[in-house]
Amino acid sequence: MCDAKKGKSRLNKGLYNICTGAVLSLPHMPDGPVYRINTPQVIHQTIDGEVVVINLDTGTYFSLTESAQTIWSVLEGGAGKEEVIAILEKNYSGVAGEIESHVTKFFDELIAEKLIVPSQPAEIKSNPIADSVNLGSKVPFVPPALKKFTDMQELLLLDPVHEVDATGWPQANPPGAHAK
Amino acid sequence: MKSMPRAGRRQILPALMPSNDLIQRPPGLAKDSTKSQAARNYSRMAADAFARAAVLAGVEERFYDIGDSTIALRFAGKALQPIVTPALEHLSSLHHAPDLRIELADRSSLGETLPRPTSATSVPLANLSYTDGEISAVVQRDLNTLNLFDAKNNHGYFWANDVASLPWYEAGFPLRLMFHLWFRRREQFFVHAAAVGNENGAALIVGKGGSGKSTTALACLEAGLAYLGDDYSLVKAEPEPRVWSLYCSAKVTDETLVRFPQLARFLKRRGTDVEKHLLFFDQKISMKKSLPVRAVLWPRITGRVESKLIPASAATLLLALAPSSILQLPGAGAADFQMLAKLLCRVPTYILEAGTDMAKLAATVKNCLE
Repeated sequence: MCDAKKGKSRLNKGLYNICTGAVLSLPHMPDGPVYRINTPQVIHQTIDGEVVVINLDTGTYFSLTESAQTIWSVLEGGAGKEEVIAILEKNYSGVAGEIESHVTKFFDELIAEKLIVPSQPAEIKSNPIADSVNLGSKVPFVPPALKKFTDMQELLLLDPVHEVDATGWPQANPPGAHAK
Repeated sequence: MKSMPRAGRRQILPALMPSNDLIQRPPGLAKDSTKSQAARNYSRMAADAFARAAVLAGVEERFYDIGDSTIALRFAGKALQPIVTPALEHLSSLHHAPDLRIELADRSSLGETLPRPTSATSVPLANLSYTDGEISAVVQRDLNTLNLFDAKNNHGYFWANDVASLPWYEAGFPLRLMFHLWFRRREQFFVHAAAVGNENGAALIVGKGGSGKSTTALACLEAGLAYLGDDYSLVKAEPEPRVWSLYCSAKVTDETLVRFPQLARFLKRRGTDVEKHLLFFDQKISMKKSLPVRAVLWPRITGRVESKLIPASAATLLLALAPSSILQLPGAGAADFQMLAKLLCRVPTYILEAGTDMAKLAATVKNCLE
């Protein structure tokens, strides 16, 4: 049993350095577009370095580990792509340009899955993680991956959304609605 | 054959005037809360309709100890009783001071459908589900039912348009959304998980439909472990992980009945559209109402004879438990997700490689409770 199962919580309590647990501060605002996690439609939990993300709107869910988890932890406070790239380059070793291209691709995936959305400037007051993430010595860069699961989307077919008409409420069942 | 206690049953009451708590509603919400006010207006209209149904069809009230609550089910008429009560029979209560009262009615008891929301009230309710923290409303489109929950008054309303058209499986797991709406306010969460256990505690068995939850739970039941449920359970993470039984039912396939032929005596309702059926257990098997959670297991059917436990991360088990639970429950969100993560952080978590030898499968589960 790991430490957390002996009573120490492994859950992210908020914005913190993923290694040291220290609360960190953002010294400057990023130059480019800033993104935030698309709450409340997107919910997420981090346990032992793995993030589990659920998009409540689409029924898809995701697992993020390694560099993907690092990126997600930075995005929890709101961050731009350039800022994320700088943090990864500081903490991971890799071929020049490799990190940037993979982060760009990963951001595109997160945006396409509606897991992150552009932030209004007023929404980003400070990011206590941001460029202070420190993994100690540099570790080999493994491209971030968004492991996607779609097997629960069928549950959304039971979506309770229902329209009202003059015949009363709820309406009669559509034919075949009980096929389950 | 010993029958289950029927302490919660009362004789049918004469058709009296509706009780005050049905017709006297609390003051409306803040004036600027248009949606909340509209929801409250509709809730008041619906409550009046339930009161009329009670007058027209007579009332029977039953009491159950579910989770940490005593819940009264107040039926207007008899139509819904055989759908709702069998799966809760093991939780019948002698306590008649409920924490929550749920009114249940249907078109046959009221003689008409629920009043149509007016333009003033349909603002939030045209798109259901709806919640403002005080009033929650969910229409289950596949069931053609309405769940209306008034948190301020600890009062729920369950409406079925046509009881005869409810799908066969509904009797196995009734009032799911109502229980979810009530218990999440008490930091107990309705999860898609089976549970079995012994004097040491319970194993929570998670995974989507077809993953082996039922088979594992039934194998354990046959091996003498206590049964808490095969598909849905109620859990709490703090102060210690704990699971409560919700339903004494099990949804099984023809194949399952061949594998566990002695369970056929509990077969009460055959599926109409698929080869699945409902079992309802009684005192002839060992059932527990609640146990501390000692392990969480995610079965994977291997086809091999032997079964074994493989330690897995809490995050892996969270992937198996959280989406299939949360996505079924309107209004569930970040707080529920965090509670499930907390629970999984506090107990050992395993992949259960489920083999074909049912006795060995049950022994493997039992081992993780030692």
